[in-house]
Amino acid sequence: MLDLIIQNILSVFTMFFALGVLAAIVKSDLKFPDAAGATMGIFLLAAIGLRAGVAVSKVGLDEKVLIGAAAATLVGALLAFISYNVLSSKFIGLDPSNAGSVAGHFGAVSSATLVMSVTFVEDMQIPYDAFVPGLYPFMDTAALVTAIVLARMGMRKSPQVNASDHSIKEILIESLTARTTILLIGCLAVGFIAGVSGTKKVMPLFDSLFHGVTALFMLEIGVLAGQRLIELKGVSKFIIGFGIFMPFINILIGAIVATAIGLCPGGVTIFAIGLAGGCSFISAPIVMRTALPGANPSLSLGLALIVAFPFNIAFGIPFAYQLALILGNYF
Amino acid sequence: MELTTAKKLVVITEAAIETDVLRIIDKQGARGYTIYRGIAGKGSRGIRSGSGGMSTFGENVRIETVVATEEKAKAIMELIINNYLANKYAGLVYLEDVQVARIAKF
Repeated sequence: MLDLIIQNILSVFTMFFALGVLAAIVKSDLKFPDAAGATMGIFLLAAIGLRAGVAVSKVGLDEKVLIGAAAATLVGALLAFISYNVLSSKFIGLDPSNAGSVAGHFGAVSSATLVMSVTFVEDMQIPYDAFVPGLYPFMDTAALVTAIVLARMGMRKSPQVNASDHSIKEILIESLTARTTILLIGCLAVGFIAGVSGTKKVMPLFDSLFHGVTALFMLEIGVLAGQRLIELKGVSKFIIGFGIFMPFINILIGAIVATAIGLCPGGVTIFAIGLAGGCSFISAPIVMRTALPGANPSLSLGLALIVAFPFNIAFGIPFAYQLALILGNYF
Repeated sequence: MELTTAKKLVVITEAAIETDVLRIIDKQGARGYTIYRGIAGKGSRGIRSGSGGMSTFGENVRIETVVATEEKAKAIMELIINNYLANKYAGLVYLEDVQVARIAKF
C-alpha cells in the first residue's frame, strides 16, 4: 500500500492542491473568479452524473441500485450519529450546535473527494458499479438532516437563543433541490435515458476535459484551504485529531456496508471514500449556517477542508481501496 | 417637483439569510427593495467572505428598502434584529433619511 500512497501524493491532482495551498500561504494573488469555480463544479458533477447514467444504461437498472440507495441513507445517518456523539462526549466536549455542524460536514458527501475517488478508480482501470456516484444525495441528505436533528435535540436540553426557525422539512427540501443533487441525479437520469448513442455528441466535451478541470478544481480548493489555515489556530488538538481519524472510521464503515451489499472492489472504494469518508466543505457549510446559526462556521469548514480533505485524498483513497480488496477476499 | 422625506433602511448581512430578510420586508408592506451582492467587509465577528463561488457560504448582501414612515422602518428593523441578528448571524441595520419625488410609491 505504501507505493499506492506515494503514487497518490505525487499525483497531478494532489500536487495542484498543494500548489494552491502554497500560493495562499505566500499570499500570492492567485485567485479563481467566483464564476470559474462555480462553472468547474457544475462541469464535474454533470460529467460524473452523465457518465454514471450512461454506464447504468449499458448494464441495466436492477435492485442493487435501490439497496445501494437504502444503504447510503443508513450509512449517512449512522456516520452523522457517531460523529455527533464523539464530538459531544467528554473527550471533545463540543456544544450541540458545533457538534451537529461538524458531524454534518463529516457525514455528508464531498463532491471533490468523490471526483478524486472516481478518477483514482478509473485511472487504475478498476471496474466499478456505475451507479455508486449517484448515491450521493441519499447519504448527503441523511447525514445533514440527522446531524441537525441531533443538534436541535441537544439544544432543547438547555435554553438556547441560537435556535433557527428553519424546520426540518424546509431543510430536507433545500437539500433535495440543491444544485449538487439536481445536477448529479438529473444528469444521471439524462445519461441513463439517452444512453451511449444519445450522449455521443456531448460526451467528447465531458470526457476530454474531465481530468484537466479536476486539476484546476484542486488548485482552487487548495487556494481556499490555504486562505483559511489561520482559522484553525487555537483549535484543540483533540478536535484536529478527530478531523484526521474520523474519516478513517467512516471509510471502514462504508467499506463494510458496501461489501455487504455486494458491490465489487471498485464500487466499494468509491462508496467508502468517495461517499462515506469524504467530508463536505462546499454544500454542508451553507446548510449548517442556515440550520445551526449558533455553530462556528470556521471550525467545521476548517476541519473538513484543511484537515480531512488532504488526508482523504492522500491516504484515504489508497486505504479505502486496500480495504475493499481485503474485504472482497473475505466475503 | 416636490420632494418628501422618507426613510431608507439598509441591511448588510450574510447571504445565508437573504430570503428571510426579504420575506420580512415584503410582509411589512414595503413596496420594493434593492440587493447588492459581492459585498465584503469586517465586523465584530470578522466573518470572511466567499467560498470560491461554489456556494453562497461566506457571501454577504446589502439590502436597501425605502419606506414612507419611520414606524414601518422601525418595525422591519426590529424583526430583523430580534429574529436574525441578535446572537445568530453577523450583520447590521441602519436608517437614513432620504428625499423622494413620488412619495405615493412608498
